Amino acid sequence: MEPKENSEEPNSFIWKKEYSLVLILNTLYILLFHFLMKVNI
Amino acid sequence: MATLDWVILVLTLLSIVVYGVWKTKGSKNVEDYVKGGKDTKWWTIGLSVMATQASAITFLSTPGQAFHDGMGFVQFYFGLPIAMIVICLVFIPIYHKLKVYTAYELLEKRFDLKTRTLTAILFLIQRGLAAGITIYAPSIILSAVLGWDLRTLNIIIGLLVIIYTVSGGTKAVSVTHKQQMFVIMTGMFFVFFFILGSLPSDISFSETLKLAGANGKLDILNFEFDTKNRYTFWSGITGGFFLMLSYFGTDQSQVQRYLSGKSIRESQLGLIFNGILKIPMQFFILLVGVMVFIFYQYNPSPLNFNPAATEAVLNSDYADDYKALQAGHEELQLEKKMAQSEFSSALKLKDFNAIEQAKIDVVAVNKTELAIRNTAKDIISKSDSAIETNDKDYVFIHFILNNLPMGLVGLLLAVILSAAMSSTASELNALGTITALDLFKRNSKEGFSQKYYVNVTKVFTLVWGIIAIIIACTAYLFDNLIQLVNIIGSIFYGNVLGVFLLAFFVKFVKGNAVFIGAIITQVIVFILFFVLIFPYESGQEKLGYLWLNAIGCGLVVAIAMLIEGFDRTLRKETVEA
Repeated sequence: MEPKENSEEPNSFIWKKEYSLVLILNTLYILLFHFLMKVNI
Repeated sequence: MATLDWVILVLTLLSIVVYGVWKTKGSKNVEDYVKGGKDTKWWTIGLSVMATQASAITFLSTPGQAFHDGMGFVQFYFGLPIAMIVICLVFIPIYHKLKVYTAYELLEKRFDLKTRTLTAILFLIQRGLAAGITIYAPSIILSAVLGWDLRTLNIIIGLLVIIYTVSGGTKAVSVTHKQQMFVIMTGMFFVFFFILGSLPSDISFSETLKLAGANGKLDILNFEFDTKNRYTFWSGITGGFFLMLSYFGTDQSQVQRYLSGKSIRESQLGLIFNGILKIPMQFFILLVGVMVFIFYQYNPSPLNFNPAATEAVLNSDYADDYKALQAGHEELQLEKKMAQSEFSSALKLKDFNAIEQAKIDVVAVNKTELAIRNTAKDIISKSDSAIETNDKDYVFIHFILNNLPMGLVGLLLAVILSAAMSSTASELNALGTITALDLFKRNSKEGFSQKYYVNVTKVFTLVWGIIAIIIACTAYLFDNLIQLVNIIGSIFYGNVLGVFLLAFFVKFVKGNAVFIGAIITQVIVFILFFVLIFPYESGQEKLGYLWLNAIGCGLVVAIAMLIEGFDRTLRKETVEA
C-alpha cells in the first residue's frame, strides 16, 4: 500500500518520483558538461 | 571604496542581522530554539542547507580555481545528488521516527552513551576548527586587499553572527539564510552579466565559451582513474559521495537544518531541492571564474593577484628581477589581446585552418603567461619563503575591487560577508546545540526547566562564537582555503559516517565494538593524512584527500564487524569450555 503523501510515519526505503528526477536531471547536467567539452573546437 | 559601496554593504548586513533578531525572538522551549519550532517549509530548508554549505570561501576561492585550473572542480559535487537520495531514503525517516534533537542522540539509542559522546566530540573538534576558518578565510583576504585590520574584521563577522544566532537559534539561522542566498545569487548574476557586457561588442557568448575552451578552461570531466588527482569523475562520485553523505547525513550543522522540517516530506523535499540545484549553482560560480579569465584576456591583470606577495617582493633584493618580469608580462597583454581577436575573427569566418592556427597562437600566448606567473611565484618565494604565492583566492576579489563599477563593489562584498555569516551561523548553532544537549544535558541531573536548557544552549552558542573568533585570530593560511576546510572534514567524516552506517544496517554489531573500531580508525586516518598528504605540496600528495572519506568509512565498518565477530567467537568458546 502506498503511504500517504504527508504521512508522519517513517517511510524508509520507499522510492519516490523526486529521487528519479534528481538522478535524471544530474545525468543531463553531466551530459551537458560532456557536450560543452566536445564543442571545444 | 566609494560611499555608495559602504552604504550598500552596511545596510545589507545590518538588515539581515536586525531581521533575524526581530523575526525570531522569544523561544519558549528547546524544540523552538533547536528545531525552529518544527514548522520550516521545504524551500526554506533547501535554501538553508545550500547557504550552510556555501561559505565565503566558496565565493572567493571557486572563481579563482576556475580562472587557473578550469571547471574540473565541479566534479567534486557529483556524489552529492546520490547522497541526498540516500539521506532521504534512510536517514531522515529514522531521525524523525526517533524524534532526536541531534544526530548523535541516535547513536546512544542504537549503541551506547560513549559512542554518542565520542562522535559528538569528534564533531566539536572538526566543526569548531572549521568555524574559525570560515571566519578567518574571508577576513585574511579582505584585510589584504582592502587594508582593513584582520582581527577587527574577524571580530565584526563573528559578532554579527553571534547576535542573531544566540538570540533566535535555528529559526533565526533559517530565516536569515533565505535573505543571504538572495543577496549571494543576485550579486553573482550581476557580475556574470557585467562581464558579458564589458567584453568587446563583436564577441558573442558562444564565442566566449569557445575562447574558454581553447584555453582548456572547459575541461570539466576527467575519467582517468588516478588516486593522486584530487578532482576526477571517479573521486567525485565515490569520495565525494561519502563526504557528502557524511556531511549532510551526520554533521549537525546540516542535520539541524532539515530536522526543523514540518514533516518528513518537507525535510526530504528540502534535500531534493539541494540535489537538483547544487551542481548547477557550483557550475555557475565556476563559470563566473571562467568569465573573469576571459575578461582578463582583454584587460590588464597583475602578475600575482595577492597584493601582500607583490609588496613583499618589491621591497626585497629581488625587486629588479620582479619588475623586469612585470614589464614582460605587460608586453604580453597586447599579444594576448591580439591572439584572442584573431581567434574570434577566425571563428566568425568559419575558416577551419585559420581557427586551428589562431587556437595554437592563443594556447601558446597563455602558456607563456603561465610560465611568467610561475617564475614570479618562484621569485616571491625566494624573497619571503613564508608568504603565500598561490593567488587563487585573490583573483575574484581583485576583479571585484578593480574592475566592477561603484555600487556593485559594495554588493559583492556583501555577498562574501553574507556567505561567511550563513555558514558560520549554522556551525555555531550546531556547536552550541551539541555541547548543550549531547554533553551537558545528557550528563546533568534531570529536573531543570525548558527555559533553563534554552539559556544553556544560548550560552554555549555564545562560547563557541567566541572560540571561533579566537581560532580565526590565530589561524595560519596554507594552500587553497576551500580545500583546507574540506581536508579537515575528510579526516573525521568517513569514520563518523561508518558509525552511522553500522547503526542503520549492521544489526549484530554492538556499542563496544563500534567504539573501539572508531578510535582505531581515527588513528589510522590520522597516520595516512600525516604520511601521504600533509608533507606534500598541493597536487603532489600521494593520496587525494577525498579518499580519506571512503577509507575511514570502510575501515570503521570492517574493524567493528571484526571485533564483534571475534568477541562473539571468544564468548562462545568460553561458554562451551
